[in-house]
Amino acid sequence: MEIPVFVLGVFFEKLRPDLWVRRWWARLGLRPLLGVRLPVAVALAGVEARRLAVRASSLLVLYVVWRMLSSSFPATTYDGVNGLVGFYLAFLGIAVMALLASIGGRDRGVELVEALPAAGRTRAGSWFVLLGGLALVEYLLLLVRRYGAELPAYEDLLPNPWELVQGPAMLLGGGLLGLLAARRLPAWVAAPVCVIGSIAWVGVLSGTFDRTTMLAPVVEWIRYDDDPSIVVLEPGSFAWHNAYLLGLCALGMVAVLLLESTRRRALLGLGAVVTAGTAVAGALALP
Amino acid sequence: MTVQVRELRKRFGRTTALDGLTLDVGPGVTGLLGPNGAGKTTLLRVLATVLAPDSGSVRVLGRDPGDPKERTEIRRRLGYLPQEVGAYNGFSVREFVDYVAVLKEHTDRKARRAEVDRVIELVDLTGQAYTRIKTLSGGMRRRLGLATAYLGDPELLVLDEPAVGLDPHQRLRFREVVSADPRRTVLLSTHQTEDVAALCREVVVVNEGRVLFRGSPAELAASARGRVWRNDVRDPGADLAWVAGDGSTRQIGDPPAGVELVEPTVEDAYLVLVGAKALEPAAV
Repeated sequence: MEIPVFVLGVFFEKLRPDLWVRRWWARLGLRPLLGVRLPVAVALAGVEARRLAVRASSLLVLYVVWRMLSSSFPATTYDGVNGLVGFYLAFLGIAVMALLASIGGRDRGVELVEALPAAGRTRAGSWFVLLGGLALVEYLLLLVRRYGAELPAYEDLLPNPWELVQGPAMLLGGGLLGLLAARRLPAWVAAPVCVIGSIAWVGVLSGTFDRTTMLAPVVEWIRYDDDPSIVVLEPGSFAWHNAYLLGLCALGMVAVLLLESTRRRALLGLGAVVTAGTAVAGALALP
Repeated sequence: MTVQVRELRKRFGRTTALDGLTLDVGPGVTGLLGPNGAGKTTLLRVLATVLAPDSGSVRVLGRDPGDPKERTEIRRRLGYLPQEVGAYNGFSVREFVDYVAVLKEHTDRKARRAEVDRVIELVDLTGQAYTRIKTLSGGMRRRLGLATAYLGDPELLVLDEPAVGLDPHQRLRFREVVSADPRRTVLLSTHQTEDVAALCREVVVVNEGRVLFRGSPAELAASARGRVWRNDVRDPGADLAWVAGDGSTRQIGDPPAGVELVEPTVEDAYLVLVGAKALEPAAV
């Protein structure tokens, strides 16, 4: 349904929803809560991206190799529909990459940086921009691959645009996990904890209990029964599973901001709301 | 006044770094002299908004650093060179200055590039712009830190031992840069009394967290008149004595009758004020 342009004009000019949102944002105490200056965070993300591309080119090469090797869909076999599973490898890789890039006392305790106007929250925000940008690009690539190619016979088994979010959400979540670990744990502990913890997370939930599979970061789109010719969709809701993953990402962002913020009460409140939402989404995802 | 400090106190465990320090600093270059552990760096860190005092009041550029909003406004108009620059070794000079420029909210890419080039040239690092920081000498790192402090042409510069490691040519260049704009307020801590004599409109001597002297370098030097003399041998009344290049012994303290008094320098006066403490190793 198309909305006439003049209706939109009246809506924005007379009702000013932006002011309404800003007013409520301030009333709820959310303005000082996030404290991320977006223009600075975006510029900083650009600087970081350029630096990573130039200085950590081996990571870039690994990423391109993963991109080329990760399974694609639509494919000629049913296995192709599990293409999002490849993102789990990237989840681990991005977690380690973010960890290495932000570890080593970067920004924390460096007096020269502490005395600059862009606060720690804005610096953390630049990582959100960087990881969010990467996730967005991957999502667009997934959409192109999903809808750009000729549709196979089992098209109805493929994920829809919302369900595709699982892959990019894993990238974002992996980066946030690495960032959080780098800021919370000593360098030599952070990487093993990140990787072993993530594998255990999937292993325990997916390997043993069918009922909790949907709480793992990665869930195979279809599974094979004893008879390999029979494929079935994993029980549970992929739509809610993705909401659960995005909730975890939001929780990761709140946790990172909490480490940088002096005004914690409002952030803790936001964290409680996000936790509740994530828990509900997780429960609804279960079969 | 650009900086107003009243009854400032700061303790680190049992050590008192600032003990009721009161100070006003206006435009021009002000030198902060004092022995190791006198509280200079702590004072500069408080003024640079990276350290909160235990008590007392501070106004920097007319604002209160204790208030988060005003603190951010101070940081926008402040250039700070800490004792340890802490630059990231993997960055090139240009990358690091660019990184700091972004954090100083220079978000326009074109303007930022021009500003980065300007400050790199200001400290004579253009030839090393693409050199990795880990290969720079100590003096070059100091100049790199100075370049970041000058980003955005700040109204207030807080420099902690900026001339350490600079060769004579670079030290003269440093004096030229720092003194270029008399409207800017520059507060620098140093152990180089000759820099203070050559550069500073005002000098503040700090010891044990308190101000011992505040005035012009000439006034500081004059304060030691009658306390500096020369003799062939060390006299018992001398607090400090050293053999000068001409073979005579230059002495500071209570001169015996009949000795040849000499015109004191800023260094002599500083030694008279601070005494043997100036020669002790760092206590903090």
